[in-house]
Amino acid sequence: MSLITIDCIELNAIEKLIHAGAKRLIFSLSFVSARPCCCLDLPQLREAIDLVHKYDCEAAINFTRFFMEEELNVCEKMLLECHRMNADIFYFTDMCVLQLAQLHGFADKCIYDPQTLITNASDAQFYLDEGIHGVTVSNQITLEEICEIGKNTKGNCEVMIHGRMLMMHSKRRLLSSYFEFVHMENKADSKDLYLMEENREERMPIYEDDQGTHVYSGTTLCSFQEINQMKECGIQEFRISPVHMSVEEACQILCDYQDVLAHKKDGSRLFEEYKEKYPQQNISTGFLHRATSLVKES
Amino acid sequence: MKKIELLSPAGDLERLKIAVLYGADAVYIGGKKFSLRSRASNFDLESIEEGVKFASAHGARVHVTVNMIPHQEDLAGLEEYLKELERIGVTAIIAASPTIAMTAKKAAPKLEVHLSTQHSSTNSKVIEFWKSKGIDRVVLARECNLEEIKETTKNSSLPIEVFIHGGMCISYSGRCVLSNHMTNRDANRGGCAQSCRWKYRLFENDKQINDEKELFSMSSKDMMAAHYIKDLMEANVASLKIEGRMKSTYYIATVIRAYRMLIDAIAEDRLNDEFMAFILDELNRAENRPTAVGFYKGLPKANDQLYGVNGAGVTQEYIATILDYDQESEMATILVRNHFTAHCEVEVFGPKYTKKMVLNDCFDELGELVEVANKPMQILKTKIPFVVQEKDMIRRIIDKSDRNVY
Repeated sequence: MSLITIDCIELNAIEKLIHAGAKRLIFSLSFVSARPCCCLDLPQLREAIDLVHKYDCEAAINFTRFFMEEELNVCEKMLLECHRMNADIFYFTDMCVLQLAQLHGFADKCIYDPQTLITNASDAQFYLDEGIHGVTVSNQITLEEICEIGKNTKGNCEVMIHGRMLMMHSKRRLLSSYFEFVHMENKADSKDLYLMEENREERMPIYEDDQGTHVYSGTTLCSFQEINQMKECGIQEFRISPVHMSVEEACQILCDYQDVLAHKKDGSRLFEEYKEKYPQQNISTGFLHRATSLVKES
Repeated sequence: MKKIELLSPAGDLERLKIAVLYGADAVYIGGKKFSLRSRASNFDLESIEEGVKFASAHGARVHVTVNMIPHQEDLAGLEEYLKELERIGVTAIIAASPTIAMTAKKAAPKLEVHLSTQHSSTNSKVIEFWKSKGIDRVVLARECNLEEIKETTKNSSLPIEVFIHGGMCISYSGRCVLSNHMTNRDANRGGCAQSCRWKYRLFENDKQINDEKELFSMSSKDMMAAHYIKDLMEANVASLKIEGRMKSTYYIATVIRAYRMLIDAIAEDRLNDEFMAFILDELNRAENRPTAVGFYKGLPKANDQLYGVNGAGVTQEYIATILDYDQESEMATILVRNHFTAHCEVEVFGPKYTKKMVLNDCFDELGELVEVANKPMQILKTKIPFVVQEKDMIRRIIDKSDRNVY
């Protein structure tokens, strides 16, 4: 049974996203979550989890920040708090979260999402063997490589199928520093900033928050054509990253993926439709059909 | 105070030897396979073996980076490669992939496995996890400040290695794929194009908000943490790492020698302000980009970034290497590395000394007087009135006190 996960874009969008086909919603909290779509407080989280469970869906918590030594206590406290609220899944990037979850007996609720680090089956299996729920595979590898991972691992491998891809996370306040350097008004907290490399045309979203600076791809990954092939190779969990997406767009995307999975819509046709419909998003297949090279091409 | 390791980079055998001679306790190098930094002239097994022999003869160790984030196709031949490294006598590998780390533990158990900074390890719980997997040392993320390093080291179940000098990834290591997206070169498999150091226009919605003359860049100043070495030694950090496998022999000699002197002075309780000023001056003479202290004193600020200049500050101070010396005639055979004119003011230095002099007449292989040495790698002879050794270096003295640009 395939499962599509999406970050909760707004608190009042939970039901819309579920009705559109999301089976797992990711909720973010201040401090513990990197790149939150929207941040909830604990009472809001409790309500959100209850609502998601009412629809027999899963509530996941975004625990993907890097924790410093002095922050371990807060990490543990928040982890236990969310566990007590019956959160189903904890996405993590820092292995301290797994250590703490193992200590408290719920490692099986954890998904390791190191963004870039899982690029082969044996590395995926190494983490899966920790008894965790799953791992998120890098979106920097080809469809063929994803399929090999799906075929050669025991456990859940999640693949990001749609959205802007995170290209860089710096702990530094790169925008604030720049605005200070050029004596401009500090617009670092704007979510409408883009970078364009001086010789290139792609517009790459950039923003800054309390965890640093985040830069996203100038293209939007779209896997309508490939999702069923991934599924056939054993990938059961898929994720949509709704950065720079409205609730309506996200719902449409969810519906369309569900239709493609159910073979009600043709993936290739949808891909072309999206390219036409959303020209500003620069719809692409990312690295699914484009292998990266190890060295500069001659 | 425990003895701390000074860990130097080396891009080839020559630089490995320089690093060892100038005071490194250990040198890390990249092999032809499984390593990042594809543009560094990585070592084949034969040169690794020669490097290990040279290092061992001088009481130093060799670590090999096996730190790529491998795709399935990259893993072929891994076990054989690790067994070879073990047979050769390599002390440790630096790995990021658990497959590589665990294969080493199983197939080549004499190799220590050090967890690469690609994992961005920032706390002792992470270290606890890796200890349970048999990892021998963890390289901390460069994002830790001094207090965090001290606290993590205190609670750590494994020895800790930290970066003290050199170029800095602007991103959490291993998580940056700017190069992948913009050039198709995989940053985590040795292809990093350093796209972070490029220039960018900044838009708010559809409007460009920065001036064409002052484009945005993510480029960081290099790290220079000399002021923190004493704290790191007192904190029981195991190893001080210098970045830069692609750096020159002159850079390696200058930086390693300076940190060697600094560490020894601290260990022998003879560090004072004057000596520190000398060390800082020495470090400034290496071909760094402009430097800052990274995260050591907290979150870097605007003046810790590089907005105007991106390249390393190549100074051309380093003018020659000593190849040979005849004590009777006091004639040194030197290899030209950078343009210089005869009779310029220079410093001749080796691992343990620095002496100023005015360069004497230089003669080419035909005995002709050379007024301007402008052919790199040309061999010349010149008189040096004190004993020098092979691999000692000559650098010009340049007064940069009135310069305000890099």
